[in-house]
Amino acid sequence: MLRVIPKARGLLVPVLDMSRKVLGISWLNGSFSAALEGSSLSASWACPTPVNDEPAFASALAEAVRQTSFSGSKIMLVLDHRSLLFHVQETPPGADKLIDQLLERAVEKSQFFPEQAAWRRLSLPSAKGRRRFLLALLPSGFVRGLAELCAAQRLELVGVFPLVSVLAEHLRALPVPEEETVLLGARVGDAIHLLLGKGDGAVLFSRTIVTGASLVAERLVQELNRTRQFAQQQFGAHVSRLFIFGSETFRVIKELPVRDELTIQASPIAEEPLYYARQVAAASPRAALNLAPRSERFKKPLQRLAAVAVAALFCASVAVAVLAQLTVRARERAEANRARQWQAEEQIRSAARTLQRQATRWRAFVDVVGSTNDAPVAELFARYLATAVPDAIRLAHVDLHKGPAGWSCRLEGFAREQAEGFLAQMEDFERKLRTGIFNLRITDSTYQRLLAGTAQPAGARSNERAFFITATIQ
Amino acid sequence: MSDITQRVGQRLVQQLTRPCFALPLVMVSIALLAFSLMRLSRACGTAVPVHASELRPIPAGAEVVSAETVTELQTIARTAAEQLVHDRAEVPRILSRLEQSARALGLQIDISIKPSRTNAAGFQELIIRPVLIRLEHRDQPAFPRVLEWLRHASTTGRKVEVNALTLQSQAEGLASAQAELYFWSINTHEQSAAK
Repeated sequence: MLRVIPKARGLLVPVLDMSRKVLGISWLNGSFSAALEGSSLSASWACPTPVNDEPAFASALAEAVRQTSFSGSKIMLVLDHRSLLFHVQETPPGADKLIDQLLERAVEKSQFFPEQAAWRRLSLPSAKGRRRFLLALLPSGFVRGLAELCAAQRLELVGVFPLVSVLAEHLRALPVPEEETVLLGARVGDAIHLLLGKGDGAVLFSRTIVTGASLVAERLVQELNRTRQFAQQQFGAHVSRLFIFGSETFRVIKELPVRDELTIQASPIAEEPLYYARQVAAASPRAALNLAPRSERFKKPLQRLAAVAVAALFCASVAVAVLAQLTVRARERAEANRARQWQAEEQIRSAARTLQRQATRWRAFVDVVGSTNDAPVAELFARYLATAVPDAIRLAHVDLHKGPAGWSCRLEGFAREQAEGFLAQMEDFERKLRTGIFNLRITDSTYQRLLAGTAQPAGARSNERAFFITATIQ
Repeated sequence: MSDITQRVGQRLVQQLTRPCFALPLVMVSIALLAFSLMRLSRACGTAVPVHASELRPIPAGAEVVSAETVTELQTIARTAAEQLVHDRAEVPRILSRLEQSARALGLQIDISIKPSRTNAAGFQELIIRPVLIRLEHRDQPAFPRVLEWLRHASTTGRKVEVNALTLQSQAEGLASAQAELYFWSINTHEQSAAK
């Protein structure tokens, strides 16, 4: 079925997402119809009996779901009900938030219903510098009850619109100038709904006249005149044309004995039985005058958002915990590996040091203890002296001892006077000692002192001169 | 299928948003998150501690010694140690032999034992037992006899070292000789303990 969606400037903003599955329901003064709109689905059902109360609404809703094989969850409802009121309220100029607060207080003060009212507003043309709003009001318990009835059937009531929301689309389709104020009438169930508005689609007022099964001409004329007077008083608008939606209704009403200045015309939009249900099914829940409880409308997305947030928080915490655990474990493993590596390295170093210490010790031990082949230095030196001392030299005292730095010796004796002289004799003797097998290093001697002029030779005998030599064995 | 998924999703959403379920879950998540972040920051913000003391370095240029080298050196040292006096009672016997050889060479001998020196050359097991021996001649020539006796002293089969030698002459010959002998002893008990 091809459906023409009206221009998107009215109260019902159509949703172009055709994949969604929404069950549109019109419940207009006891007349219940349902139309299913979806990507490939199109089904409808009209309740054959009047639906006058909430239990009947619940039954009709269940039947509509069954008849249309509706498998979605969203319900959009266009409503005209005896509890639905419209009220024009003036406020001082102000921001929207302030206006809402003022209107809320005004609604509470007015006590339209014994209980709290659910209301939405529609801006009207200002008068004398004061803003004016058309308020659509329903008992909040009634709206909540409808939402609960839907929820009981696992359905979500996302939109509750007054009939004016649908009929406002007609205003723009009427062949009138944008600034002209007209009346649009439509028969809905056992009532006539009158919409006062302009050719540009602006809604001024709306009211429903319950007529019963048959239209009473006098009363209808009376209500039409009252509505025109209201338009004159409130908006200064002269209403000269009345458009009727529905050919049958037009046929009846055009015969009414209204005053000459009111022209009655048929609406150019063709009437179809499920018109309201289809229109509301295509509407957006964000449209104006949606009386569905905000909490209910926003509850699901918020609930979903909260659930996602909780799940995301939990997942994030688990992920971070796993990451932290992995990181900490990795560092612990690295630490343990480093400690093990250090220990192994230290063991190797310790073993190397121990081996080095042992080797040093054994080498020192061998150096100290020596071997059985060590040369008997004292004996050999004594034998050497026997051969190294010239005949002219007589040793009186030989002292040989081993110290920490090695062997050292001190020779004392006397030299007989020779033709070459004492110095030459000593020089020759010391040279022999230095170049001998013991390679003596003479540190002090009589000869050296004589050369340095620090000693005077002394003789034991007349022809002998004493000497000494101190040396170390190289 | 999509309906089942949708219903399961709705049920899950309802469960997750029930305060009795969501509140503990959020608290646990936050606690877990805080604990994890704390552990992570601690782990990443501090250096890895290695619970060990500083590595003691091997001196630069130090010779790398293998176990085989040490064993070889130990064998050499043990062989060298065999020439040491192992039994304290051995010293009087050696001295007795030296005394006999001196007398046989016609030398008068005077022996005086000096106190032992322990911990010789830094080795706990080594003991030096110094003995001072004075030799005097009875007949000339005495020097060759002293040399002969010194030969005897250095061929005892043990490490008997002439640590000092003093020769004193009078007139044309040797009057006396004094030798300080070191009897190198080893305390085998100390040796094993030192190892």
